[in-house]
Amino acid sequence: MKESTDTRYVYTISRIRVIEQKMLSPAMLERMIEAGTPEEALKVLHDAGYGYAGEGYSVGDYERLLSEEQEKVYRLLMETVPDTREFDFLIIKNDYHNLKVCLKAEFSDQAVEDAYLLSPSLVPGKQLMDLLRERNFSGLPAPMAESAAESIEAFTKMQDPQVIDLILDKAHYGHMLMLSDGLGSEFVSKLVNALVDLTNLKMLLRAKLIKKPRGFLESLLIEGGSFDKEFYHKLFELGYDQIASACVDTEYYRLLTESINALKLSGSLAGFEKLCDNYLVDVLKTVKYAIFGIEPLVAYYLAKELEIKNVRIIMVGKINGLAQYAIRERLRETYV
Amino acid sequence: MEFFSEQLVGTVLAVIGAAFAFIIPGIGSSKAVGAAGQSAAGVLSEDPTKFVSVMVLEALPSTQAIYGFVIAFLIVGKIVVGEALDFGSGLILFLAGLPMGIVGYVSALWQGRVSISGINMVAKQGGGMIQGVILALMVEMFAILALIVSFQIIGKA
Repeated sequence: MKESTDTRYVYTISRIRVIEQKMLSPAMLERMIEAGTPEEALKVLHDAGYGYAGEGYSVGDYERLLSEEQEKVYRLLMETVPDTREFDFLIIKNDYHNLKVCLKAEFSDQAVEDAYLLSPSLVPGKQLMDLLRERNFSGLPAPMAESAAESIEAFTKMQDPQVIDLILDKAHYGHMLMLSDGLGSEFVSKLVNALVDLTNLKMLLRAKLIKKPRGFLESLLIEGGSFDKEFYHKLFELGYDQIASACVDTEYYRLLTESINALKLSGSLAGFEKLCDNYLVDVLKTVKYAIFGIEPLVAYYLAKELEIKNVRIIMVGKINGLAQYAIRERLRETYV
Repeated sequence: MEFFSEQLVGTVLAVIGAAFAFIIPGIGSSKAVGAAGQSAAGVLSEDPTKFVSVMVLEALPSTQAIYGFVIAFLIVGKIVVGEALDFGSGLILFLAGLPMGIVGYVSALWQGRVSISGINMVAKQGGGMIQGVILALMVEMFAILALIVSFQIIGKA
């Protein structure tokens, strides 16, 4: 991979190198798992500097704590980098999520609860709600506005909330590819391509798992990424064992071999999702010691996102009294 | 042009050599120390106790400009007011500026990278300053060699 020589980010990178020390190590996650109560687990987070200082967080609002922690990372980037638009591709997934929530709530005549709206996002959740209510899409980025209009139209025609997911998911990845292309970073392109590929592979395995016809897969596949649709259709015709061997020349061979083994044992895609996250962590680690360029910042943001995912798994497990081994089984690899 | 008479060619060449020997490493050092300074500020924003370590590491790539200054000074010292330098001496002094100018520039930039890496290392572990300095000094050696070569060439003028 070509190394970046862009020195505009050295300040933020060095700052992150200090903050990174406070990321949750496997030992700290283990302490959370072994905690007797959810309160004790929360205390580990508190000690690691989670959330905003001076705010008391109780077990009940751990979700708020986690979303504020992610916001803190985003805010650090926004405050210190020369061009904040370069990080849009990282957060638009929250925009599309919020869009889905708002549209589905509207079509089922429910009020949108704040807790369901994610931040950070390009368009703040509240503002998005207002814009949608007034059907005023001019305030949204073009691909978002188009897909919102398209999904409203499709829903009124078909009355099926699933079409909203289909349209917006595709729009999200298309938008992300478009934004990340502009950055000219090999690492970011590889990362975004991997996200698209892994989503498509997940669709493929899911379609096979629930024994859906080929046309179903066609409607799910996302354009872009490393392979064309023909490739996935070819895989779709193969048995589980052959899928991995057909991908022997790709980056995902090991991932597929392991996850198909897990899939055959458990009959669920949970193992695949975990292995996807582990794969992404490995990609992120390739720029762990980079000193220039946007790459370490992107890696830190996503590493933090994965860390928060781990914390959520533990907190949900603790609150619901899940056995320790069951929590451990679900944990993703850590960046530090 | 009366001023640019043939007699002055030697002197002019020597002056260009002196300017080159300073300007080029000067640019390199400015870039390197500038980037390292931003990196140092990043660490200090989070952990002000590391000031000494990151300051030392930040300053390392400035030496190339200092060496360039020395060579430029020595070359200019060969020019005597009112006496035109002959062409041969002028050419030698011009060439003397090249090793310092070119090697100084490149080594400043790369030493800057090592310094920034060192600063990031100090960010992670408190006691890493000495190691960081030693690693950066490896690059320093090439600037020192260039300084000696330029110095030797000046002696032949």
